[in-house]
Amino acid sequence: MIQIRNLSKSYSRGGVKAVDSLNVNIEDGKITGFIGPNGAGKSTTLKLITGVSVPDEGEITINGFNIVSQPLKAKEQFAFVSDTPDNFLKLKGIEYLNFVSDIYDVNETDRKSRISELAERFEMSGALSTQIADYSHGMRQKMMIMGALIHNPPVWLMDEPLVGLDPASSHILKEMMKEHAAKGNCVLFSTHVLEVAEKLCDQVIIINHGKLLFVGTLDELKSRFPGEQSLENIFLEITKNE
Amino acid sequence: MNKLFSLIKVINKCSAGSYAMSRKKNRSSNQVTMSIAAKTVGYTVLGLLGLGFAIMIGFMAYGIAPIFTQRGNLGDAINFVLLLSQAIMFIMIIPKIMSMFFLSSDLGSYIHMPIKPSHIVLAKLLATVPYTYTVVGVFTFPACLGALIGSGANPSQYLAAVLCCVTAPILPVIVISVLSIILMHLCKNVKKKENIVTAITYIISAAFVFLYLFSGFGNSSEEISDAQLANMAESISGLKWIFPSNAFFSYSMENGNLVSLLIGVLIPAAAVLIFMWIAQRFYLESALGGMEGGTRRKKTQALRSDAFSSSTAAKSLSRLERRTIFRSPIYLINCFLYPLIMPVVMIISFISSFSSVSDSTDALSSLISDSSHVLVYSPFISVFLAAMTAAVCKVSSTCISRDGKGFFALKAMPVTMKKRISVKYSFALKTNLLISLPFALGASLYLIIAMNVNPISLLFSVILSSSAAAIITDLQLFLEVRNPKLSWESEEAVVKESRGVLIGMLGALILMIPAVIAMLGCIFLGIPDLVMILIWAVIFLAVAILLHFGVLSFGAKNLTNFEA
Repeated sequence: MIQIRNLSKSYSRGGVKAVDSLNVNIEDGKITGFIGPNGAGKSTTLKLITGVSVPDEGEITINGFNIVSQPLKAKEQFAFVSDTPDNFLKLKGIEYLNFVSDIYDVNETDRKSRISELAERFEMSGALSTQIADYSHGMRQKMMIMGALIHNPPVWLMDEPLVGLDPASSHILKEMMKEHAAKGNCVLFSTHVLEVAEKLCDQVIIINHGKLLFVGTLDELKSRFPGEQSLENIFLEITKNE
Repeated sequence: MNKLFSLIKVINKCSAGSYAMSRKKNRSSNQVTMSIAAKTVGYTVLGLLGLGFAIMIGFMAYGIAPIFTQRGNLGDAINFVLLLSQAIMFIMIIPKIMSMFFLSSDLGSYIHMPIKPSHIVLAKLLATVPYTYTVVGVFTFPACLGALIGSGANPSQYLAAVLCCVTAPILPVIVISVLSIILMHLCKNVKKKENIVTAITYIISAAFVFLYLFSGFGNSSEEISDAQLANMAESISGLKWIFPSNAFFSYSMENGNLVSLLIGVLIPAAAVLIFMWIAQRFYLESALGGMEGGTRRKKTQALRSDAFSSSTAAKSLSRLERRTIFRSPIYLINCFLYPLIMPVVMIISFISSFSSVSDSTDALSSLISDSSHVLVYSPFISVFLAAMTAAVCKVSSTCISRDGKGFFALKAMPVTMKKRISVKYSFALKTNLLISLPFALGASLYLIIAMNVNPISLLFSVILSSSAAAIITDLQLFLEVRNPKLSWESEEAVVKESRGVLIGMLGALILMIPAVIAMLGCIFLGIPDLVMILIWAVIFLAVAILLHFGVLSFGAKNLTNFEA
């Protein structure tokens, strides 16, 4: 479970707040979609949750571990897929997966079975001995997802994870997210594709200008706007009012 | 015209391969003011240094010119200066032009726009202007001007000098551009073209360094005899066939001959026209072919039997460092091959400076037998060698920037920043010692075996040169952890924008101050050499340790708060 209390962050002193007094609980056993227009503060919030950025104010705990005061314990709890897959380009796929396994202390037996399983699911077995620099954008994205999931953590945090994936891989990832949440784990991902959020998410968080606009299930959201049935219209309405 | 200037800007940005520093947006107004002030001071100092260098060259030429005029070979001397300046331009612009014409990574940004091919080619030629005319401004022009004033030239000779300097960069630029286009045509299907660029740049740079060392360019003007001038000119005589206009310009500058001047101007003008004709027909075709050729996929390879072996986080991070450097020709050259040249160059310089004395071994023996403080002298070379090698080596000065966006990916993983920095430092120090210690110890051993220096000097050489390398590594690390550049397009930008070498070299020179103090202490205060060298070693070790922990602590704090 992720608990966010009074989280604020601005990128320049006295400037506009990218995240403004955010309070939200992301519960276990659910897939939570993080929705908002461009520049709403989704990526910043994810960076704050993962410890990539440091909050100006507020507190974030992941399964009870504070990301600022207990960073190592907190980081062991989650897998993070960032919005840029162009990392570790000089490593071969297998070297990258081994590197991540070493960082997370995954033993040889577990890593072997996990790498084989993930590579097979994402159809990357044939590309493991190739340098990541030679991969296509979609293959890089798959490799980053595989690296993030290799230590099988309870919390999954993903920033636009479906961008660049082919339909088959996108389907596999969505199925994996469902399986993971069904086991009582926590999945939080950001997306611009409202259809995906509508079909996949148990709850959604909508933010704009760093402020929380809505948190709850899709049914709760629809009940607030009785005249509107599509998520797209509700989203446009809610962000316009803001 | 505006279109052309915009195109030049885009080409310059694309071939530099860097974006704005990621930290800029987080800066307060005070920091921005400080940054602008620092840049203004930096550029002013650089400008003054350039001006100082130009004046020095001018005065040197002014002083030497009457000697050559008396001997009747002023034209040869000017021809030599022109060839040398064009050789310098050649080295300076190889990476730039190779990046623009051979790699052509910028083409993708504007090839779909309605721009004439001739504009593209012309913009690429003009993009090199700031680099080539810097050489002209600080070297070619002051040398020609000084020589002409010194020899009492007439106005037509000055006109020749001005036209010569204006046209001087044209032929080097065109020669490399033609080479790049031919290479591009030949290497259409080569995937990693950067390797070829890096190899060519390294080979040519190394060749020029060795040419410099063996041709006697470092001799003072009084020492240059006609025969030596002929030898020096001969060493780069191959260039006169590449830059034929120089002979006409130098003749015109010596005699004020207008026909020679006209031919001198017509040769680069004709070269430009021919190049434009060739480039418009072959360049874009080859470039587009190359872009398609680069999309080939590699064949699938089977995994090795040890593919899933585990390791500690520190070892894994170190392996990541090693792979990042060894799999990038740009990093490999700047982190290993250039530093490897440094001790060789220093030793050759040392030997060649002794070779001017009839018997170097005798000279060294007499120097040592005269002194009762040899123990203090002996590690001097080892320390300087280790410090300079560490300064040139870019493992430490680019260690965070090399990670690029991967820096943030790793930040989300459970590894402390201290551990990450420690691994990088340790890798950098090991590299420096691996390169410099064999040479440093070799120098010490030579003194022990050949000159009967106390064998304990070997121990001090190890301690002092290791400490010196550690101090320089930490100094460069400090610059890097203070403000890494994580947003870039090509690895070349990481290496080019690093100020570590300059600061490292300054640091290396400052490190020699305690050595000089130690010598003076022995000579003037009569302190025993063993005591003095012991104090020197303790100070170096203490500084190295304190600096390391300081940089580590500062780096961990600063990088934890460093944001995308």
